[in-house]
Amino acid sequence: MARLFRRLALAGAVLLILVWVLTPLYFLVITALTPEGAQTPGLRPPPVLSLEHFQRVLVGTNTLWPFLFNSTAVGLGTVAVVLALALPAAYALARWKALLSRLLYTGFFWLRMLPPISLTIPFYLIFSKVGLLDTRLGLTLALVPLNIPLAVWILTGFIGSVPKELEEAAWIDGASFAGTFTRIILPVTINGIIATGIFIFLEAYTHYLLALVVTNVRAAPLTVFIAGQQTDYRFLIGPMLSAAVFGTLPMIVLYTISLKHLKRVAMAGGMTF
Amino acid sequence: MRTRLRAPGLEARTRRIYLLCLVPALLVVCLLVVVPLGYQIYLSLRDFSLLRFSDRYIGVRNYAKLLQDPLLLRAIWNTILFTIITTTADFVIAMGMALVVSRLRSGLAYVMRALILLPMMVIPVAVAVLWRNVIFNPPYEVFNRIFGLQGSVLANPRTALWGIILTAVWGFFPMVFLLLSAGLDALPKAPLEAAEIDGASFPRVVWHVILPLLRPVIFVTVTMKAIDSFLTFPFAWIMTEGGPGGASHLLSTYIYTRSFANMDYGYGASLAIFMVLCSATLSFGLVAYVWSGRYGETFS
Repeated sequence: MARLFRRLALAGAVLLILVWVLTPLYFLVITALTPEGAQTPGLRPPPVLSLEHFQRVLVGTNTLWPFLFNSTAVGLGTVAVVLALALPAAYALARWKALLSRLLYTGFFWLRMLPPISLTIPFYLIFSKVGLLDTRLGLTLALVPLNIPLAVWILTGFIGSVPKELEEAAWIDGASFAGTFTRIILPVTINGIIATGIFIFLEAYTHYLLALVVTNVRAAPLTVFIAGQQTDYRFLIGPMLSAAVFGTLPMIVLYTISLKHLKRVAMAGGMTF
Repeated sequence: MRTRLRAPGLEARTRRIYLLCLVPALLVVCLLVVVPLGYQIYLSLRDFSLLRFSDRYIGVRNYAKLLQDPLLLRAIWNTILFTIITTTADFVIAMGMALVVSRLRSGLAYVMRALILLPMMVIPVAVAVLWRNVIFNPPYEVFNRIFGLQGSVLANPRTALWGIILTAVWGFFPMVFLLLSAGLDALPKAPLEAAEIDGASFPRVVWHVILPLLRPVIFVTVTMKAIDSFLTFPFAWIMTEGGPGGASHLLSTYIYTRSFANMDYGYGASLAIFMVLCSATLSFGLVAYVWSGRYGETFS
């Protein structure tokens, strides 16, 4: 009896979870598939489904491709710059046990709590003076400082878990610092580094605030494109949501690839002072 | 015991290399954070507005104005409420789900885990436009139809913030779930089995065994979630732009409105500096708490 009750409670909980998780997703997909003028009042699905909104954002005159390209290019640029800066810094912080390195490590934590909104006015005014407004380079530069702290943190965790004895053995054999790094540290931590890269890419790909401020049309990423359809939303709601669904597909792929490491990435982003 | 085989001078050489490794990152942080913030402080001491065509030094008058700004007070209160409620709700929902999933057979647990993570894979901007245009606002107004309500939640100054909170909770609980669930999987099995053999009921096991063991993971997860909530911008901006009448402004959307909608960069800059000071204070408190060792063993 008690066992039956337990199973029923568990089944009820599972059902509740599914309703909470899936209801909004159902309306996201169904609205994107509802053809113009076929919306039904009430919660019933529309009589016909069509791909016309997808067609419009994928092959029409106002497609999402330039925006998706901007998102991807800026995302990759951000990953490259951030990893190039954060890898050596994380190596030093993981290996160097001194008061200064401890303070710097805490400094990166402080940077993690820096409100992105506090960089918008300076970036907007400075970029407009030096001609970086509405350029992909400008947006990349704006996203770099937001992602450095997390990258340094995560990578410090990964590099710190490599035993120092491995390196010392290599030094005694006469290897240089750079050689030790590329031949000892990199091979062991490469999966973690790739997962960190994917994580930074997703952060850049989904970022909205700074893109809203420093881009306009030419360099605008997908997030700005999707939100920009809102101005006349009764008319553009279908294309907006189909762009949203389409833009989510790369995220599903990247998350699925990196999920196993993402847990460690997210954990390392925590507090390991 | 590490044997000391190093030649004299190696210590100094390694320190130089460590510093060299840190220099590029520190330089870029200087250029892209310290310089902009310095410029921001300079701007906050000026009356610099493109609407008033003014640009002159006015001392701390922006900060004096800030102290008597009723909309700012509202935004601060909203941000506190938003941060506490979204963090608590995300934690309760995600913890509950992680516990439920841990009780399922492995095949079903795998499917549930994949489904629960789906909302995280939708771009937050898309989550916001979905909830605003399909769930809350006409013509679809799914929320109103399900609960038999009249009038959009987002159009009412008393409920607008709660609409944003609900959306943010839905958009971010999977990340919390991911962390808690990973922590739950990594728990040592022995204490759990011992409690089970002693005949303790599941709720008692959760309360007396699982939650205490998970404390470090919970601390990290909740802290990260709270920081994200405190800093967040897209949900509130896309769903209401702080409206109606400034009723649902968070600090970030309020600063954005004053700076870019009103083109009052001087006052906006002083608000931004105020927010930086708030978050610096919070993070100092957090660092002090962690360093004091009260949060238990650190883990990596």
